[in-house]
Formats: sequence, C-alpha cells, structure tokens
Amino acid sequence: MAEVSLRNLRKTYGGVTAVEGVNLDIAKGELIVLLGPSGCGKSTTLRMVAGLESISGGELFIGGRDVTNLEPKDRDIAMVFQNYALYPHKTIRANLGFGLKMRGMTTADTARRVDEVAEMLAITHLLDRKPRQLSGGQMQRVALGRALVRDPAVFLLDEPLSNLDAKLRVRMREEIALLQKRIGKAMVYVTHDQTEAMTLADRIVIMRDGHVQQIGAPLEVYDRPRNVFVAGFIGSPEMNLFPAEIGEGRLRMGPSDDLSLPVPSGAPDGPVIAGVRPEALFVAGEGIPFAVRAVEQLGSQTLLIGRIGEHQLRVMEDRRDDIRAGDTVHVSADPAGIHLFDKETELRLALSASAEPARD
Amino acid sequence: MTRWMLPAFLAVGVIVTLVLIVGPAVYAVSLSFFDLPSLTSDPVWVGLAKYQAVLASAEFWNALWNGIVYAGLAIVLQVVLGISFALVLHQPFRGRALVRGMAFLPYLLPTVIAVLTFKWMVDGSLGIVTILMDDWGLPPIYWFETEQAAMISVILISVWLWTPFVTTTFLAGLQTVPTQLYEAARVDGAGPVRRFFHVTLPVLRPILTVIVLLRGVWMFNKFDVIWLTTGGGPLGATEHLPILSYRTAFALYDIGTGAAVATISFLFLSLAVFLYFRAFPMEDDA
Repeated sequence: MAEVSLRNLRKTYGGVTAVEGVNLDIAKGELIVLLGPSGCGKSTTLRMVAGLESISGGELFIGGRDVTNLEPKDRDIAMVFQNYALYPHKTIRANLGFGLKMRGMTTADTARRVDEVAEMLAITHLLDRKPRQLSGGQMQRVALGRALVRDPAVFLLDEPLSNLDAKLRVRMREEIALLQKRIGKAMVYVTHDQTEAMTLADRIVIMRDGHVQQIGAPLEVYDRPRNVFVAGFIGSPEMNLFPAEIGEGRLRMGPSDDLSLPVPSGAPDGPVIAGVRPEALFVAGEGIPFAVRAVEQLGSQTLLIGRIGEHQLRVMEDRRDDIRAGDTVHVSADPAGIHLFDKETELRLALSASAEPARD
Repeated sequence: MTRWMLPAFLAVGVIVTLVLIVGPAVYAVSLSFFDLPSLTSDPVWVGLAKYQAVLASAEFWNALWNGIVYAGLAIVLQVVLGISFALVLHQPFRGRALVRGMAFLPYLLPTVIAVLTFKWMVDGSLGIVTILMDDWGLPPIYWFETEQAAMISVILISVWLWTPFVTTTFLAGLQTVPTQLYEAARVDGAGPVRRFFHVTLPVLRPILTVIVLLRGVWMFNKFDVIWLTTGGGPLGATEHLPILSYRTAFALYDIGTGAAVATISFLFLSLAVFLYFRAFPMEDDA
C-alpha cells in the first residue's frame, strides 16, 4: 500500500488550470523529486499535498486515509520551506518544539524529542540562539529539524537548497539523501535543478505547464526520455536536439551526404527530431566535420561547442588539451546514443527492443 | 562641496530649530519661575514657589489622573480596535480597496468637525442618536453632563478619530509579514488565534511599540477634543494637564503657574517615555 497517493490531482485558479491530473503513488521510504521549470506546477502540487492549496479535483491519500479536504495539521505531513520560514523571535529550541507544543505534547517529552533531533542534525550548540544569528546552512538544518521533530508520514521540501551557495548546496544535498535513507520515510522534494533531482531521487516526476511529462528513476528518464522536453531538461550539459531526416540507414543533418550519423536500427524513414547527448558524441578520425567555436575546460572533461552544418552542438570529451577554438575536427556517435522523436508530437519514437539506447 | 557648505547648511536648520522650538520652550519654562499676572506686566522672580503651589493643589493631581485615564483608555481602545480592523482589512474581499480608504477617513477630518458632528448627533432634542434611542425606548444619556459620561464621551470621540492611524500603520506592517511564516505555523498545527499571537504579534512588535508610544504621547498632550467638548468639565471631570495649564495661564492670568503645570507635564511625560523604552526596547535582545 502506497504511503502517499495522488489520484488525478488538479488545481485551477478561476478558469486557469495550474495542475492537470497528477497521478502518483509514493512508497514508504521513497524519495520523489518534482522537477520542472518555474511555473510548471511542481510547487502547486506539493502545496496541494501539504494542504496549503485547496485541491480543485481528484483525491489525496496519506497513510491510507483520504486527506483531500483536511487541514495541513491533520495530514501527518511536515514541510521545509524555501526561505526556511523559521519564527524569527523564537529561539531555535522553541522553533523546533513549536509543532509539538501546538499538538499538546508535554514539555518534558517535547524537550527530549527536540534534543534527539538537534543531536541528529548536529545543531545542539545552536538551540538557545535566534534564527538571525545563524548562517544559511544552519537555518537550513533547523528547518529540516523542525520537520523531523514531528516524525510525520511524509516530508515535503519546497526548493529547500535554493538559497544556499553552490558548495553548501552540494553538501546539504548529500546530507538530505543520507538522512532520508536513515529515517526511511516518504519524501517529496521540489526543485528546478536537474542535478539535484538526478542525485537525490528514487524517482523523478518531470512536469511542464501543469502536466506530468514523465515519471521514472533518474537513469530511466536520462536514458529513455519520453519526449523532447524531458530530453532537453534532463542531463547537463543539455542534450543536442535538432531536426533531421532518416534515409538509407543514415541520420541526415543537412543537405550534403557527409553530414550524417548512423541511426539505431529499426528507425523509420522520414523527418524526425534527433537528440544526442554531448557525452554520446566523440571526436574520431573520420565522421562529420565539426567547426569548434569555443572550448570549455571542466577539469577532467572538455566541452567543445561548435557547428555541424547550421546546427550548434556540444561535444563532451575526456580532457583534451589539443583542441582550440577555430579548429575543425571530425565527430561521430554511437547509434545507441541517438534518441529519435516524432517531428509532430515530439514523443519518443518506439524502436525495436534490441535497438533501444542504453548506457553501458 | 566646499568646506563652508556643510556648516552653512547645518546653520539654517540649527537657527530654525533654535528660534522656533528651543527658544519658546526655554522661555516657557523660564516663565514658571516668575510671578506674571499678565503678559504685559513685569515678571517678579519667585523661584520654585509656583511648583510648590502646583504640587500642593488638588486640581493638579486630579488633572494628572484624568490625563492618565484619558490617554490610557484611549490608547488601549485605539490599539485593540485598530489591530482588529487591520486584521479584517487584511483579508481579501470584494471592494477591499474602497473600504480601506473609507476606514482612513476619520483621521483626515479636522478635530473640530468631528467634535461638532458628535455633539450634534447627541444633541438633547435634535440629535439623531437621541431620537433613535428614544424611539427604541432607551433612557437618554447625558453625554457631557455627568462626570463619568463626559470622560467616556471624550474618549469615544478620540478613539473614533485616531483609530485609523493604528489601523493603517498596523495594516502596512501586516503586509510585510512573510506568508511562509503563516504557512509554517499552519503546518505546525497553529489555528488563526495562535498564528496571531505566535507570528503576527511578535513579528510586528517593533511597529506596535512605536504606535503605542506615539499615540500615548499624542493623547496625553491632546487639547482640542476636550477643550471643544467639555472644556474640562463638568466640575473638572475631564480636565487634564494641558487644559489645566491653559486655564491657569489664560483664564486665571497666572502665567507662571500655567507654565509650571506645563513643565511638570513635560517632565512626567519624559519620565514615562524613558520607562517605556526600558520596558519595551526597540531593538530585540541580541
């Protein structure tokens, strides 16, 4: 039985639909990431689960109970907000204990529980301070602590790391992942950062304009994006996407014969949208001429940005010191690394099973 | 900016302040050390005699007490009503902008208009309130004729006039409270009342501290409402220090004593403000 169940969840404001028919079952201990650009409905969906937005249609179950119309406090959830939302005038101790106090827990029990969680998050030394005496990372821990103290069935996190600097964000991301495995509760995590989604999620829910685009494990959506939008959104650097034509067993990128790549077997002839990840392209002795316009050194890897015909493409190589902007090199691709999408519907083209792209 | 510009610009402000504020204040205080039956007669130095006389008079203590009652009750009512209105006006509803504008109107009225309107409404024979109460079979209220009713009436008028100040200031403050704090409190299980006491009030405490201070000082020094309604009567029931000072100086022509009352009033208020800041520091304890 799923811990959290979203059944055709909808949100409309006046005549405008913000979220359309989200269906999702979340198991106990599962970390779900809602991912998408701003305005895609991911936060609205989370807030509907929290009870901070009313549900316009559909049903929501938490722990087997229908909570569609219940107040947030009666849903057995806890939430971490983007700006932490710590009570500025209360000490950290009081911040952590507030939810328990509101629920009528005795002072002694509250104190014990707060101490436990503070120890787990290594914030015991901060308990008597006020929020504004804390750094961003410390406030983030307290915000997590306030959710942990309550020991709810499901944790809801709304872009919890977006106010932290890049380095701290990576560290807190790791901590959240470890913490979630340790407590074994369901967690729903909203972000617009695909790296966060890839690294944290058991399953990613990718949304756009209020619609769910794809639900799957990180490598599943990376390897088999269901449509052009998911293909472009997941993966960093972005997948190269360009219109092309399949004919005579080649993927033609332009009018002349030499601008073509091998195609996965089973691909139908005709116009398509092709997608190749930068890391699926490689510099080779022969292949398509690739006019390098910029070289980005990332340390262990080198990103080449250049043109093939009229398309701008990115090629990710292991570290290369010998290629300069202005050079022309030849690139090729493994047919298994080429994704094909319908030109009209932008949906992934079904190929015969043996030819499915897969990473080795 | 050349070297002489800074002192030159400062000098303008300093001179204006000296001539218009410091000068008259020092002059007024100095008057309290003289016997001065009229503004044209020669002052006679009497030292602290006027202060001794004032502190020994029952009239002074009565006026001080009246001032405290008047200012105290008026502030409490203004703050409680003002915050309540602000909370209502903070909720979204149709025509909110219009209602917000109307709620501010009383504050824009000249006191004399408000007072005359009120007096007219409760007029013993023609007043709309009198007529309505008579229609409903209620006994007449002698708004300004009995001692307690007079005090309540001047307080009511003051509350009506100046509650909008509290409402508007508090409403402006309400709009700065982060929405996420309320949402966090909702998730934590706090209902509307607890959200008010655990989020709104603590976050807006600095604003509230200033509101109470300003309203307190203004009400304690408020002259026009009482002067225009009861003139301090009946039998001194609504006479507070500003009225006493004015009456002593310009009705009894004892300018020295009037100045002494004003000076004591000023010292008392300074002490009260000092204690207030001690009790409610503007800065949160760090």
